[in-house]
Amino acid sequence: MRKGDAFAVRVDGAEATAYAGDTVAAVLVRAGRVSWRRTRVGDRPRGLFCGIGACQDCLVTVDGVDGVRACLAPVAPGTAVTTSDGADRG
Amino acid sequence: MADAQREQVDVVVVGAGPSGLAAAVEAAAGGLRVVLLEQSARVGGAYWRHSPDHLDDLAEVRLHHDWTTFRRLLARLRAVDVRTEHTVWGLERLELGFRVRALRGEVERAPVVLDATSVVVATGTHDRVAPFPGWTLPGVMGAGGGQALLKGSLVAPGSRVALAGTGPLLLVVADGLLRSGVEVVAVAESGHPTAYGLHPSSWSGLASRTQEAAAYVATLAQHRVPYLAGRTIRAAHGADRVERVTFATRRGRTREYDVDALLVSHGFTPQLELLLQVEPETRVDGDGSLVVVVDDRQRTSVPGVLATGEVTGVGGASLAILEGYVAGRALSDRAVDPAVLRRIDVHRRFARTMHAVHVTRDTWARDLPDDELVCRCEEVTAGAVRAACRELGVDDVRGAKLMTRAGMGLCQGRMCGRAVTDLVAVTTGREPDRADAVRAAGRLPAVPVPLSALAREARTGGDA
Amino acid sequence: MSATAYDVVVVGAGIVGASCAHRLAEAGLSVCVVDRGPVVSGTTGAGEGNILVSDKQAGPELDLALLSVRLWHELADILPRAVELEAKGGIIVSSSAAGLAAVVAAADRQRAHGIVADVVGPDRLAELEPHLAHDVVGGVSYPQDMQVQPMLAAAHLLRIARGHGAVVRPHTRMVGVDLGADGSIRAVRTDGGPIGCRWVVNAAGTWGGEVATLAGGPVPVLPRRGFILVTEPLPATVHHKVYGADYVANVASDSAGLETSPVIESTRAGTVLIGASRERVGFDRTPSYDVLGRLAAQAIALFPVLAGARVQRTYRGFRPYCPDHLPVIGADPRVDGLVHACGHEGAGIGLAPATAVLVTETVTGAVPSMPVDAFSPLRFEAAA
Repeated sequence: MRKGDAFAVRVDGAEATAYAGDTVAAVLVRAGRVSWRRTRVGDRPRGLFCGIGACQDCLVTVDGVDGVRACLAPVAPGTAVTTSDGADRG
Repeated sequence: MADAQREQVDVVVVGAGPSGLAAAVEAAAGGLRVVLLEQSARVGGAYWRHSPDHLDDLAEVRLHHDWTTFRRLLARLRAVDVRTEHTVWGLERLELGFRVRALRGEVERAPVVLDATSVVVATGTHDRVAPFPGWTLPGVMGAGGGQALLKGSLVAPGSRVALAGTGPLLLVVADGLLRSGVEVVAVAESGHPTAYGLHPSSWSGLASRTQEAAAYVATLAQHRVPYLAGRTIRAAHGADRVERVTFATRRGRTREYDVDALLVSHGFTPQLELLLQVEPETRVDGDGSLVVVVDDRQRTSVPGVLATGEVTGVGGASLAILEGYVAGRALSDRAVDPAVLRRIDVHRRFARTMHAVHVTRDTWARDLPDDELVCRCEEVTAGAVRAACRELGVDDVRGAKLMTRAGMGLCQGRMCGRAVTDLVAVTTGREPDRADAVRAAGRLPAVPVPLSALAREARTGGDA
Repeated sequence: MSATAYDVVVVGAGIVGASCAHRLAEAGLSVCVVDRGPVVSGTTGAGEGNILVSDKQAGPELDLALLSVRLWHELADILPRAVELEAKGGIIVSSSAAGLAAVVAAADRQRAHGIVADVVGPDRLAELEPHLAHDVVGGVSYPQDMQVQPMLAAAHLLRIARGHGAVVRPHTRMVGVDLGADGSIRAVRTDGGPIGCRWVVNAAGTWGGEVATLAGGPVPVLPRRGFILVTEPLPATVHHKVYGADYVANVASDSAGLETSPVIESTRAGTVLIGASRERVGFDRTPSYDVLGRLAAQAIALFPVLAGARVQRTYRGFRPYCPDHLPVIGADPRVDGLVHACGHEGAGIGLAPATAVLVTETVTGAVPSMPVDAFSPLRFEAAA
């Protein structure tokens, strides 16, 4: 269901496919991720919730910057996304 | 302070959804210098969220409404200084005019300061989700948020999706999912849409809306998707993600569905944090939301601050576009077509009916088990809020925040403010007043701001 | 006259009112606490939770502070862990040799009056606070300084007071007092009707001046505004209460103009609280970006690692300020039955327990634990 030029970004060190206009969240969900963060107190899994920048649930690290809202941050060729789940795994 | 490049413009419009776009375009057409700030990477808001490769794609158009209106606004947008990826965190009243502070880039977070004679706040809404068991499981998300993902990137939030809550959005999103080839297992609507029939005068003159609704219901029927009126979401189940949902009738009859996503909308919460920084007059709307009071030119009680769209009362995109048009005309001192004002009245009347039909009862606040979270950020349980009420004398949302940390996390109570207000009211029996609502919605900064960006605001900085 | 009569009506459900209610009820008196708003809705709810000796110079306030610190340690036995009462210690730091010399000299004077104050050099400082800026040349460590979550502390003290029979009536505004034929207080009038009582304790904090006037014993209490920044939750960054050397000077200053000095500490939730500003602008709630900016700049100057951290919340409060920076505590000779317990400026959290003891001693006629003349409500008349 997708057209346009695909390009590569890095998610937790692995290559993932993105398209022009994608947000980080779109790349993560397309790659099959439902959650990518654990909460501070209860170690609960979190992913997208409000989806429009209000809830701060979907936070990721983008090019070394923490606390980025995945639902808002656009990706470009070569963008490096790190999730705290991914960091824990590896 | 040499690096703080402060610009002076006539109008700053915050939010490039339908009403913000219309306001910006009209104000610019009246000869004003207009800057339009938008948090996401593209204009259009949640309503016209789109993927850039698909502006002319037929499949794309089928996911959208009033697409020609959007194209027309886009064509006129050349007269507007559009700045996407700008998140506004501060709105300050100056002696003359206003100072708007934003961060450019979700990753870069570069401070941007704009001075404007007038400001139009068109910050829209987010989904309201009243807590239920399992509501914090991954895969449970706002219906509008799920739709944003679909429309913005053509990525579906799941492959077997249920929808729950109340309001026309559930139908719109279900329709979009079906058109994109996603399986929709059921739609639980807690209201009884047949009640619209009790208010026939409310939708007179809005034939397009009733036709639209009928078309959605037809699409659901065609795909054999049950549209279950009077059903609420009882629980979402799963270990580390939603795997199953239980819908219930008011009498308690339940039915379960296997899903990999649940999209919920119990109506909407207008995003008032920016407006409340300048303390305009507010009111509680028919759906229980705190909204800003505006006159027939979209002016708030703060001279120079206008508000359009859902922050003035949830009423949908068609109404929002008209309000934006009026605001833009008013700002540039041009006459407003009286037919538009009449049209706005018609839409507002319909909105009142919509609020009456699509009600989320506060029984959730009685039923939610003590160990379920109400505040997602600080992970505060319903039991903790109830205990604060019973043992510590808490009887308002601010007290609950101070005693339990509910609403003290990164989202600053956006997600839980309404829920905690209702939970405290149900627990204590004390009706929340508007001061409570203002307390729950007011916040500075409107979004988290790096200390380094804030430090630039010191007028005599550098002496520390 | 209401059917229920109490020994004492405490006006104000903040930390001072809660502490008084707790002590009075524990002493066997019948107590009713009224507040015009919800519980803990005034300055207590806008405080950092400072329990400090480090910012006090020799004199009556220091004596009150030392008594309070002792009492806070006792309260630790009856308050739940949730109130986050912690003897984390404070450190006053300086980036200049001259500033450090002044701090060290002040510490020498304080030490003679029972304050533990240890001079620390740069190496020890780096151990205590690894993220401090490298240009900090030294400081003085005050292990007696404590921190508490003030809202929870006040609410729990009210809960314990209720356990001793006290009644708490929020959303009840005092509008006056009724005096008997002998001129003594017999009731507090409220918007919810009169409440019979023998004593009225004015624990209305910043609004204490208003309540005092309503009760017939005016005292000058004025608001002194302060802003606080709260960061997002961070990994452990600041381990003690860390103050800039000019903080102490600002606390004691009489200036109506804006003063800011860094006061930085972490909370159990991982957030970092950044203060402190002082300005006399009435009850103006309008945010001052200048003040917020100064607080941010000063925090970064002390802890450069905070530059990228994000502020998720700001709030402001109004300290109850008396012209001589001392609280008003004790019986008011002008109105039989009126007892003041207000005007603690920014130290109300810390000074509340000792204040409550003095108030209780006044009401029960016991010998006061310490001299209270310096806190007399009449001292302002003499000056006028």
